[in-house]
Amino acid sequence: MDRKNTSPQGETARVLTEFLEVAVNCIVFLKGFYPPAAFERRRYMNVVVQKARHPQLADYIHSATSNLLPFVQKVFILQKTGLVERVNVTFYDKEHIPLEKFVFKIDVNQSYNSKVEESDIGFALRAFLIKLTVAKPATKPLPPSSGWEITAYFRALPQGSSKEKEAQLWIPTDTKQWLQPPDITPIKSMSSQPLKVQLYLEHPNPCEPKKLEE
Amino acid sequence: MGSKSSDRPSTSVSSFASAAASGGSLKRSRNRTPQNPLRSTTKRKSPFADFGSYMAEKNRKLGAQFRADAASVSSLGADGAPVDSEEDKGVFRGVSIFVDGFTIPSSQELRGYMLRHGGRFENYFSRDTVTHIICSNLPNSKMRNLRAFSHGLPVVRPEWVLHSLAANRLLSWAPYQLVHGACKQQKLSTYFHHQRISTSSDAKGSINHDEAIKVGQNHSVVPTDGQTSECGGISIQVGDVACLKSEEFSQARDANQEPSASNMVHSTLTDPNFVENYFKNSRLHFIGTWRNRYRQRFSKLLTGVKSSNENLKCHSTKQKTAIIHIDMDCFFVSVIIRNFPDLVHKPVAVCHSDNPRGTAEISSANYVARNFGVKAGIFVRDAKVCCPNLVILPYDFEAYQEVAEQFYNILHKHCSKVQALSCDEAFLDVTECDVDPEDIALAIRKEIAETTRCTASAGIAENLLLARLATRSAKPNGQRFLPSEKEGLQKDFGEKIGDMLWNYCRGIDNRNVGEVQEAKSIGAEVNWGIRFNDMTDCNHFLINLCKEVSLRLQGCGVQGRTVTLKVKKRKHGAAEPLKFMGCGDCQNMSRSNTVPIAIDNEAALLRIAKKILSSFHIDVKEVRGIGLHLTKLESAKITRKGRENIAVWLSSPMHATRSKCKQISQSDRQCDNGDFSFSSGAPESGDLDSSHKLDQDKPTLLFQDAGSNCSSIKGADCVRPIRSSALPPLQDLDIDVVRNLPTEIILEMDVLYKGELSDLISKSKGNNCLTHVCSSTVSLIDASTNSADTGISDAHIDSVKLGLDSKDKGKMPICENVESISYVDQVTMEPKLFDLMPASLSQADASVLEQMPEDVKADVHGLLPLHRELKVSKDFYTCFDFPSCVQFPDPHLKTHLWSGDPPWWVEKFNTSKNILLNVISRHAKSSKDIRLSSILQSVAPFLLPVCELSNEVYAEAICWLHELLAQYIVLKIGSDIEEIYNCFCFLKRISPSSKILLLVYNSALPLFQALVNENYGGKLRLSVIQTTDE
Repeated sequence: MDRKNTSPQGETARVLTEFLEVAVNCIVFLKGFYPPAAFERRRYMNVVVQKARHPQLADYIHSATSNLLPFVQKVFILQKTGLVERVNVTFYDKEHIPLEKFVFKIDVNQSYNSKVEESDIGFALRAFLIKLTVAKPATKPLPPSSGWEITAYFRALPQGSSKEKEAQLWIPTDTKQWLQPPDITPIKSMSSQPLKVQLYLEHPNPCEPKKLEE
Repeated sequence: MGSKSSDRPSTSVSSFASAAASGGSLKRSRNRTPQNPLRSTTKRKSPFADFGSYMAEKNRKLGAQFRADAASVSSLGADGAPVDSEEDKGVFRGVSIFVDGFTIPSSQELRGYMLRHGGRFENYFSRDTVTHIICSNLPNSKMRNLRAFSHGLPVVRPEWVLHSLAANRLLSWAPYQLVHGACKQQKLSTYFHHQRISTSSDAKGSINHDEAIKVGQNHSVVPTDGQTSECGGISIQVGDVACLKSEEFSQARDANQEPSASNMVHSTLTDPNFVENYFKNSRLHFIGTWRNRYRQRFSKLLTGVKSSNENLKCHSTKQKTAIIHIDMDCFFVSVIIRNFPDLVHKPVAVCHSDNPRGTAEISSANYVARNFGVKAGIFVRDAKVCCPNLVILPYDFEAYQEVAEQFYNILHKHCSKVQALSCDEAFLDVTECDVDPEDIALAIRKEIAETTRCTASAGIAENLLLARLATRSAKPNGQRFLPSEKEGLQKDFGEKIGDMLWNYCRGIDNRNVGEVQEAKSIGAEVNWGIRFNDMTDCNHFLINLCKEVSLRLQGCGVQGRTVTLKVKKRKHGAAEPLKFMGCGDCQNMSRSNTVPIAIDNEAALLRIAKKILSSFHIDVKEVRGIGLHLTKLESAKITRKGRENIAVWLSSPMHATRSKCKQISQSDRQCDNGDFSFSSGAPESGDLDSSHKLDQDKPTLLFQDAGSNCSSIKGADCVRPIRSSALPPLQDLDIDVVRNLPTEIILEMDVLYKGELSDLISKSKGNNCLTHVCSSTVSLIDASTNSADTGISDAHIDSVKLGLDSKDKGKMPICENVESISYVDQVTMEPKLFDLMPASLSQADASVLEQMPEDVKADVHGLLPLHRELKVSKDFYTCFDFPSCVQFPDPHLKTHLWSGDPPWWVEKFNTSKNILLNVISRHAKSSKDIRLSSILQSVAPFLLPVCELSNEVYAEAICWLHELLAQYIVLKIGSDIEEIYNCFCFLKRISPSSKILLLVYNSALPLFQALVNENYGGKLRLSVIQTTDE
């Protein structure tokens, strides 16, 4: 574990990305996207969670979330928050049309300077993991041959040559935005200092056009 | 020299001569050997027939090569000039060395020295040719049998060769003897022992030189030799001097009583200011006295720290300690070379003298030099051998003093707890500091680098030892954080297991011997006589096996969560075993299944066992053994208790509640008899006991508690199912269970049951007299209730729409369908008596109260607020339109409702004249949780259609509630959408039964959706939880 960066924000960001990794694992498991045997039971923050066993899957989730760390920490000047606004886990049908999005709306107060107890944040984040395990009724079943991906929405495009390498790890997404306002189902929210996280589901509006071209 | 070595008589050489005669016939002799089986007889004639002769030939050849090399070197001379004098021919005349193992310098270099200086170098050891064995390290076994290994020859360190060369004469090898333990770690006790040797026997004087210095710092050495008596006086006073003396002294001895003048320059013999000069140049003295200077300089700070240390001692145990060990990088060198920037990348060492003999000790070397192998404590001449370009610089004690002061100034500035170890090294305890230890270390190092132009390294860990070790790996100019391994383990494996692992890998185990180890697994296995013909046999066996395991589990009083089934399957082709009906050669298979709740009953075991067995997909005829085991055991007491609650919930066994049933047994009996036509009149008190006895013999009852108003409910129930089809009949609820539910759930259920539930609960709690009285007077709910009930929601929606349209005008005229609410007067008022005490007394039938016994009446009055009078109103609800004069709260108050703690509205509602608002406020005050969703849940029962209040009151309440909700939405939309969602889900669920909340819900929803759209770009879906209801 990299303990080099342990300013309050750095610590919060580290906890957050770690949490996101676990949460994404849980979401993918929850959706039943892969057979249950592809996951193994683990303990995180004293909650039983599921972790992908397949090295490639685990690596994708890990690299996607851990590479968010610099951007979560990076200050977006206008609002004194981290650069990352949302992290989506999007599920598609085979036409690559989104069917369901798990949205983590993140707000890290970067100007918050006092010491953050990891256990405090952990306590709040644990509620997410618990709620996620029972969120199945709120989700919709996936059609066959669907897909999924992790998308991060930044408040501004990463700039500066020093961080270019990190920014290059992310590619612009071609994920379609909703055409109609989606249906939102909140799953869990936490609003503490310095971290605010909200997790909700987005489903397409019933009047959302099924296919764009047609 | 060549002649000298050639005429040395040697048996091996003479045998070479004969071998040399046939030296050129290698090929031939090889070819010949197979033809001649009698090799031993021809050994002499064919030299390579065996190993010995080959080696002899090789040695001869090597010797010849060496001589040839030596001849060519010596003819030129070391500097190209011809060598003529016999004396110059070689320092190592007559010396023949054998190098054993790794040495510095290498054996090839040593060979070179020997070549040039008249010695001999043997590649292979032979007692006859070798005179000295050179080695730096010897394995322990050789050390122990040194005599056997060396054959009595001297075993010396390579330094002997170097030093002899430096002195240009053959030194006595004795001081360079490789002594057992000389290069090993010393025990403390041996210091004293060696000290004697070093001063009394010149043979070991310089070998133990290092130790002597160490000893000398602490103990004064009293030399026993007459020759050292001059310095004895000094050495008694100052230890440092003694070592110096002993060093110089042994040097003098080594020189065979030929002390050169340079040797004596600094000695007490010649230098009158010896002591003064000595201290001026002593680094150890600088370090030794530095502490005093430091004390003087920082005395204030130190005392301050000490006192604060005492105070903080108790705190530090709780907090995780953080220690920084900070150490300047090669302090003595870097302080000097900061003024010589060109030296930064060159090997530099600091030494008190740089005389050509190189006998001074290096005190500190920079990292460039260290890479060459230069270390503190080695002689300059050795260092120069390692690193010819080494720059030697003198001390600058003033600079050291200055830098050390700056160093400690910086440390004290950053941290109040500083423990000085040396002038360039200290421990800081930064536990109390709020800042991250690594940041502190970074800041300190940066400041040190800026102020002193020297670098420092830091190690951060939880204790002194680890911090110091961390520094070592951080050097040069780095810092290293050693995270607590224990914490890491605890994070990965949980607190207990992490702790255990951490302890175990250090050999710590605090478990006690003694207590009976609880069984980890319980089960039964049968491996003999298992022969099944078909599945029925197998199942039959499994049943019996499960029965056995179940009995064993119950016998131990435990239950298990993991069921493991082991099956022995006959190996393919295995014959019938010798042992009659034995299992024979089997393949073992085992699978387990974990269930969420611990089990011990036969049926569950059987079910799981069958499932596992079928998963093996084996032919039952092949099965030779079956075992069933349970693990993850839990005590049955705990689990059974938990399960009983569920069992109560499901089947309502009565023994638990029987004790409480005295008060209601009367009604029980009647219910059992199917007599629901409850006759008026209180039962005789004497009847209670008998009926109680009766009850005990009876089978389980489902609704004993319902007694008092069962008749009324029954009446209502038969016509109610339109709305409450999803709800179980009230009678089916077990009050004991319901009562144990969380309050919010009770309240919510109560709303669904229109308050009857809480009535039941309160009744079951006691006051049977009252119950009976009440029940006798309860009237049946009019059938019209249901029509009104179902019709109400439609009416609501219409009216709300109206209300919303006109909302912006600040008025809320709502015309209500009068008919739809007219049922309310016929709702029994008694059920509301207990849970809706403040608002519902007015509903009490005065005639009922009139007929109550005096004491009961007094009770009822005591329970109710005095200021409110009973009134019976039949036409109270006939009209439900809000007066148009009701105003919304002041617009300028809008933003303030939720400010403050508790929120401002709590007080506002409390002081309001509106009863409903008072109720809400009271609930908000009593609950710690000021989240609106929980407040709404707790007050919802009061907002049911209890409509004795005036329309103005309603209108006002609705306006305020709307405002409250709206502001809450605005407050929370950005941060806690879940909470608002909860509020709305609850409102939506409850709205069919509460008009107020419906109105509030409908009025606030558009605002909410608009804000959600604005903040989250979507529309909230509120139907998730409702789907089952609709």
